[in-house]
Amino acid sequence: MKYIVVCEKVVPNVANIPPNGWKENPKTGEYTLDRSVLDNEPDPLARQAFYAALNVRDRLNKDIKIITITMGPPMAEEILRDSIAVGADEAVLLTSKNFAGADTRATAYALAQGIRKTEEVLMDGAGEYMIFAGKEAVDGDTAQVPIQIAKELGVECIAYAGGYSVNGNSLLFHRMTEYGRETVSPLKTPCLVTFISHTHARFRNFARTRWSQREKEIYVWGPDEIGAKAERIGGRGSRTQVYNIFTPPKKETANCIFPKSIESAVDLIEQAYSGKIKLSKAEEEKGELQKYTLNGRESEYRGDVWIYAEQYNGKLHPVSFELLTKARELADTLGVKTGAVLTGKNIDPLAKDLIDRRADKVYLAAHDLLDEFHPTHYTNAVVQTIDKYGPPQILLVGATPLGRELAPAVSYIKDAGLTADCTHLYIEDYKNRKGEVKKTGILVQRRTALGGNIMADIMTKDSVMQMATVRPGVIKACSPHLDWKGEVEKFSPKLLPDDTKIKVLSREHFTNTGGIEQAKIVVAGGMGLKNSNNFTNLLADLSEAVSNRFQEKVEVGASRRAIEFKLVSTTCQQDRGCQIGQSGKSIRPKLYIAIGISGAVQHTEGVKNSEIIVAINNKEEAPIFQFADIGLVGRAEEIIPQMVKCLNNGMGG
Amino acid sequence: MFNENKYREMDVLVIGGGPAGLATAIHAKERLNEVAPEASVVVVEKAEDLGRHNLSGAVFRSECLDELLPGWRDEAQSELDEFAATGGKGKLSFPAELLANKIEKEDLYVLPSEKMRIKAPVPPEMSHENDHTVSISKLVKWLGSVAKSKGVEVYPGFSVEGIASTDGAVKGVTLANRNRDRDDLFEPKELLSAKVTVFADGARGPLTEQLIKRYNLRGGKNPQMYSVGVKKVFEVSSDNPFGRNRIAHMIGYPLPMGVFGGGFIYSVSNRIHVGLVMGADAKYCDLDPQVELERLLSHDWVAGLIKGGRAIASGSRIIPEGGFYSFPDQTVNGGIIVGDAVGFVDMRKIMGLHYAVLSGISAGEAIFYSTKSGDYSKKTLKDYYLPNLETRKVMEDMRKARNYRQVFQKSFGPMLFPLHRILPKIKVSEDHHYISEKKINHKRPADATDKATLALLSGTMHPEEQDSHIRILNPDICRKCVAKYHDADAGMESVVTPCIKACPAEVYAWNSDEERIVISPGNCQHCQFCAIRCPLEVLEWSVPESGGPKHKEC
Repeated sequence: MKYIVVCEKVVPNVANIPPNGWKENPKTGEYTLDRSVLDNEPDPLARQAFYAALNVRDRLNKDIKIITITMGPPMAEEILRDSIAVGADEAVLLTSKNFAGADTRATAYALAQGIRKTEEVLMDGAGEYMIFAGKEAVDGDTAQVPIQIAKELGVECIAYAGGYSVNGNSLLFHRMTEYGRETVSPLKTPCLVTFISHTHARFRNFARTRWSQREKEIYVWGPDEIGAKAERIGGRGSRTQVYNIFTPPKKETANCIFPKSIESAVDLIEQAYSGKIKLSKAEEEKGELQKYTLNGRESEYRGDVWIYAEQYNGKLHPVSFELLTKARELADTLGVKTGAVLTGKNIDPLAKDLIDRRADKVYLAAHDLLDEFHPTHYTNAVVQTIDKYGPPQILLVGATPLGRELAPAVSYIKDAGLTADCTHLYIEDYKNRKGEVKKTGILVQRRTALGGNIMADIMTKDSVMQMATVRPGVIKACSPHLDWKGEVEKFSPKLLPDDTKIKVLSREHFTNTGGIEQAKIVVAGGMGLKNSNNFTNLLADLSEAVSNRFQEKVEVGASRRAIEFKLVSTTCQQDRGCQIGQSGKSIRPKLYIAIGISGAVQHTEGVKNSEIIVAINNKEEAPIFQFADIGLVGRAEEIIPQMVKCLNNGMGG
Repeated sequence: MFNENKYREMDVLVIGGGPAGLATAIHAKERLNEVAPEASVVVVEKAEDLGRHNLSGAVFRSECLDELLPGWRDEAQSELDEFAATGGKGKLSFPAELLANKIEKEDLYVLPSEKMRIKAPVPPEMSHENDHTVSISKLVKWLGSVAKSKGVEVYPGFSVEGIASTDGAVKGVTLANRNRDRDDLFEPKELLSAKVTVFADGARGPLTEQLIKRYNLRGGKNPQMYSVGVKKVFEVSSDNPFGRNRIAHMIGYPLPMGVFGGGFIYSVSNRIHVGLVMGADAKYCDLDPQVELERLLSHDWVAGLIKGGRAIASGSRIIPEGGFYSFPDQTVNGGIIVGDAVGFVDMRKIMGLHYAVLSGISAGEAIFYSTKSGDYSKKTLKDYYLPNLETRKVMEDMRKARNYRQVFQKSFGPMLFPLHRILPKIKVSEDHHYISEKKINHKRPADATDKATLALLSGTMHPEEQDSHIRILNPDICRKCVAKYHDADAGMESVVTPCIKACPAEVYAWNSDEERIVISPGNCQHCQFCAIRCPLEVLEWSVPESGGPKHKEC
């Protein structure tokens, strides 16, 4: 490998929205995000990819040339010059108003064309390069573009690399999957790698900065220079269209419940965790049945409503049932059937489970190569299922790590629009401003963007089917209907080991791999724990009990103060990996338990996306209680042992 | 091809992209264009972007810009006229906005308590007639863009660590190491060399302080005296309840008797800036500027003005107040000091902004003549710098105010006040010598925001993995400090030391288990008030590798 191309992006800094970032509409009283007051910055994950490229160059071969590329407005040049100042050798800016309004598909195409041109002009055309990108950008957080670039270029994609190691002259990547970690080796260049890791930042060098500001030439190309077809870029090349943007309803201050006893608190946590009750803040589909009806008209798209049923080790992922529930509702509204696509090796027994959740058809694509998740084989299997039995008019995929790797590839191959991480889906007619119905019975795909600060309604256009990934946990799965009748279609897709140029060297299986930021349950301690003994022992006891109760790995975090006061382990004191808050890690677990943390804004900023927040604090007036869903007032040393007891008892009973 | 060393050499190197540094750079570049158009003028600034580390009241006397940027006023005025003619559509450029914020109403109030206010006449020496209110962050951002358009090279995001000198002459500076603590990523220090280095690093500038020490520039002078200024910016409804183009100064509440300082409220467009200035020589060891600001904000009148408004920014800084008798020598071989780093502040009005610009212009002149003669010696620089400061009346104002602040430090001060202009030099000691064990026990008002919120509103951020830029030289001494200033009967849960109280952003806390001060450098506002208030001189504040506040409005 002689070159690394890094895909960068300029994004608004949505992690630190200044207080005047929200403008009130005096008429409606609604707040909208004023993007002009946000700072622009390089996308942090793309920067991680860039730092990884620099580290690879330092460790593997000093002669590797790093070329950074971005598509964006002319001011994006500033960020490219920054990259040069940090250590990139060349920079390419794709800019033109014709690129604007692009969805992930049109963006991926333009960047792929840019990379092709870069190969020709800057990389002597021998294909000896890798492409590094961030897993997703903070403003759109779709994680679709890199995978689609790989599909457009016809190269392999190694998604979610959390690190790499140098093995002789080659690179091994450690990638996170939903169920563990894989070490993979690319057998061929070019290939594309997306990064999730947080390596140490690199800085600009003064001499390079001055050089890049004064003399360094940057390549600025428009559609003509990169040979991009007009019908494939910008709005024209897009397969989705945003037609409605609004601000999510202001998060109500949580109405913290103070249970009378620790037993009832644990009970409440369990009910909330299992979805039996919803606490105020949890994002949720309304659950009301759709009133929409086609009234004899034909819908814009034809075919059934399908879901992709994710399974692992002979067990279905719960999101599959959530998707089926939604699919049933959509199919009934459209007057069509539901279908579930299942890929794997020994998957026959799972068909029944899917039929029990009211699937009309179950498509089993079984093959030895599908034993473990492999993006290329899985993509091919799903595409072949669609070709053989479809296309459906809607295909829903869970927005799990697996789903978010699979769906973009399938959508790119099938030339279908895809909306990532939807929280709400329903059928509606699309009307223009005058109120005329332009499209009948389309799927409205609602999602949040800009770090959850805006919501958008998106529809598919110019496609054979409408695709969306759906955030797990937002739909309440229906209970099994044991008398439901469905058909099973089984076939063996045509797959060859040589279809992929990535070799999986080893797999480790464990739930939850992404550390505290990806954790589903986080238990964190603050100054209220007083000393490191308390911190270590109480948190360990509680984590273990919670972990056993919910069958989920629990990560331990700490407030900034707790780290500075050295309550935490030495490792965390050094790398601050467990620090939660504005200046540490932002987390979004399903369950967050804060112990002895008062709840200064800087801390709450980092945990506001948690679904259920439980606070234990001996001060009733602690700000954390204004923020928490469930509160327990008292000393941690007394409360935690009792909680542990309740949690363990629950196991037996 | 890229030759690294070539890019580390320049003709004029300005440390600090504030008003003084940018004025120096702009004027030097403009004048050098006459004799050496290829001469490079480079500004380095520690903030990520220009203006982000600048905070001031601020009231600005704009005439200094007429010399720096001839024609700016007419241009801004015509934009303003057009704006008015079209009924105020669109957005004003910075200079036009500056002109629009002319002070038209000025009040002085005595606040005897948290409920009362008494109007007092504004003494002529405090008058701000013809002045403008301004956001210094915006002023600096604008000056930066002007500088770039004139060919000045401006590089924000670089922290300077040390001075490079040989044979008694300054030759340049070294930049702070990056990734100090990471062996694998360690990037060596860069040495920037220049024919002349301009020290424009602001109040208690770490580089200037090094320079003063190295060349003993303050020999026989008073030590510098400081106050801290803490402020909050409120966005209020368009019918600004305080009134546009208005400023007010307040004395009395919330500060206790005998403590120098006071409050201010300035209108800047539809924003209200409320701030409090408090002397670093305050005798109460537990006096807390952030609490005092919150107390001011809870004063009936002030609270009424900001009711319904939103706090959108906050921050703190120190003000060099020693004046004329505290000035260090302002030149060395190959070096020149400008602005707040010298301490050009007129204490009668507590104004320094235009003196910063005027000193920058004067330094620009001196650099021009030195370049012409190829002689950057202390003598040549001084021979052109000082007369230029004189012709711009900087020194005249400084001499008039020379004892103004000092009289407040003496117990007999108020009696001497009418005589301050004719008294000989009043000797003072460093501020921390005046701190006593006395406590005032002022409580944060109910509902008032805390220090973490101040830090949040300033946007301050320092990468957690970098070494602390604040160091305690000897932790044992801190225990002595606690023993002296903390009242053990009050319990060890909330320990009082001058540094814990001084910091407006909760950088300091006491860990009672380990009996030590714990530092959270991430919150730092870069004001350095902690180090000034440390009675035992064990706090060392240095420039962090990166990070700091992100002021946009302050």
